[in-house]
Amino acid sequence: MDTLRRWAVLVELQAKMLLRNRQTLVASLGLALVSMLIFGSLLNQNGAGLRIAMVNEDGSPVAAQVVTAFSGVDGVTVATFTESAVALNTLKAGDAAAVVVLPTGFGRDLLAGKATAQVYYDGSNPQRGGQAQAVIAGVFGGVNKAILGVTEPISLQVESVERRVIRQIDWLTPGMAGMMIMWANLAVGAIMIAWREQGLLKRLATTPLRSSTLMITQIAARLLFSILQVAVLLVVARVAFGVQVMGSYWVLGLLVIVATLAILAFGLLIGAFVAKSDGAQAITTLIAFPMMFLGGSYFDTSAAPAFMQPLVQVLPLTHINDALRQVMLYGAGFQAIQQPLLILLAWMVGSLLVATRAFRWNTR
Amino acid sequence: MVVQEQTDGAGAATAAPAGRVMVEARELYKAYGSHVAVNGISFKVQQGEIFGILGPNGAGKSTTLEMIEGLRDPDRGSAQIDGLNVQKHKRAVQARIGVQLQHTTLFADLSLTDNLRFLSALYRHTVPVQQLLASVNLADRADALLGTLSGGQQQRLSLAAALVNDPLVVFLDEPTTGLDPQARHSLWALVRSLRASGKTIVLTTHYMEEAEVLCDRIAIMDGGQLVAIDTPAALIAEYGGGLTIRCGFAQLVLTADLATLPGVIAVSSDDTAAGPNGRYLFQISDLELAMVGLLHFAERQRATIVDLQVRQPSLEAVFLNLTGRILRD
Repeated sequence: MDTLRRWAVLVELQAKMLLRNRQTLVASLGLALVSMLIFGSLLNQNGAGLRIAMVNEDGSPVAAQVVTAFSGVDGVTVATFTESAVALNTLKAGDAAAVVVLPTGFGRDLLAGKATAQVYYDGSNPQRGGQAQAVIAGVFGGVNKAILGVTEPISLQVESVERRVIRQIDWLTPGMAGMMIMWANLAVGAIMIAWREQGLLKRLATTPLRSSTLMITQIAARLLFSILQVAVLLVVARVAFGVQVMGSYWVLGLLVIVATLAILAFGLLIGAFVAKSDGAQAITTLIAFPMMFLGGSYFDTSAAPAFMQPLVQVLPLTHINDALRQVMLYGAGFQAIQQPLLILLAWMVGSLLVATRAFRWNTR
Repeated sequence: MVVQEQTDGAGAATAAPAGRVMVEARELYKAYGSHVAVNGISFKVQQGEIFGILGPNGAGKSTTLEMIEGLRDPDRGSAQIDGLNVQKHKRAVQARIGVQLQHTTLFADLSLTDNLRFLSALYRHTVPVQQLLASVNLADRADALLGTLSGGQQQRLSLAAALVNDPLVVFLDEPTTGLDPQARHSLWALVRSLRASGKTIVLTTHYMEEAEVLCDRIAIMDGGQLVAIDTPAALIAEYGGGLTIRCGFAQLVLTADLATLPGVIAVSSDDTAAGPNGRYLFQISDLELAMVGLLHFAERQRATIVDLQVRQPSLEAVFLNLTGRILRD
């Protein structure tokens, strides 16, 4: 019990030092929040205008007039399609708020006095879907009056399409969480080397402290730090951008822990092969910066050229981001992210085996 | 010239105080490549002593200390703390010692209290943090970050940090280097209070004054070897070389004549003195003869004496006589 209490003090104080290290905070949480603001808000123009997809299967003059009527509405952009399946896909992808299908025979039926138009709207975004429905009802009402002088010859058959809108910001948030874990923990080697340079490790070596205890408590402190950072990021994403986590927070927490461990082990590995702290800092940045992009924090790397795939697939961040997106976007459970978890654990074990062998208290 | 250590000898007045041997170095030897840093050092330190290792930078003081602390393994020889072999019983030794290293501060981003809490968490048996801070007069800065402290305060904190486990032996590596005189004196007072509480203190220094007024016994090291070991008074009596006169003249004088003055053994030019005509150091055998001779010399030469001091022999002279070199601060 006494040992546990003493370990808890070491964890608490090392976590305190991490929180006071502004450089780490800015490079991790700060960078993530700024990126979300830029890529998630300023570049996210989806919600600005109401985009309605028109499918004119009929091709009659009357049908063409209906399409023209939609184009005349303020704030509405009309995209025309010839196949309803394609139009529905754009709705499912969040690129349109509603789809209006004028079926074959629409013109003939209308002249006969009884026509039907099919309307699909975005059911997962009630605000946008409702707006679209109101616009569509208004336009058909106008068409009815202006063209025919008859009330309601066109009846609307309305259907809601259930889909989840994965906005840019939704996709970006897990990537930012992954990037944050990487920047906050990859420098662990550099910091240990700085402690060695300052003679701090030498001072600790005169005490009964074991190197394994120092490692374990440092790692525990960083786990706490990472969980706290991810929590702050998710709260901001939720409050400012309405980002929701579909999966379980327990699975997410476990994933954050495994991801942090993998990155820490990688960082210690870097530290084991560099003698000076400024060198370690430089190499850490040199590795972290490309990994941030190749690991898919900002862009989807599954579309990267085939010759780059081996590099992309070997990076721990690729698997961290992949698993984070699975959990946060698609509600994946523990089973579904087993593969990336195993890859990360392999990274951790391999790096630690090499790093602990190379650990030195002294500069000489 | 080289004097073997005498701890086992029966040098009556110079023997170490009787008591438990807390630190023992036996023929410690350490080389880095072809450079021999420590060449066969042996000594014993009794409980309750302040034991100083004096020598210039590069003499091997820190390496010696680090081998005794268990930070470096000697190539040959061994060290014991409280009867325990340092290499074989590392953990038991680590629990018994407190160490202050040269040029090492603790965690700049933590408060003083937290720094001491960190170190306390490494031992089973500890002294309360508040008590430690009070003992080094830093209780009022308990919540300040270490990085905001002055040099003297940082040294006092690192002394407190060496005491968290209530150690039997405290090692201080150049504890007052870079401190102003006031901070130095306050640290000396703290070290004496440690001795009063029964602790054994081993320190290194290259300050003559520190060795002379603070240490009960001194080992003088040069070039990796121990050249003398005894109390300051005994070292001065044996190697201090008697009284010295320091004297300057307002005019140029025939220096060749100075060495032939009665009562004077040797003359050297004191190159530490500023001024156009320099100052001379006279090693003398008889103070009265030398003084009279000097006054007559000045009269004959029609020179005016502008600066006259009679100096007691000091450790400085001891070091000069033992190594042939001046040890500078």
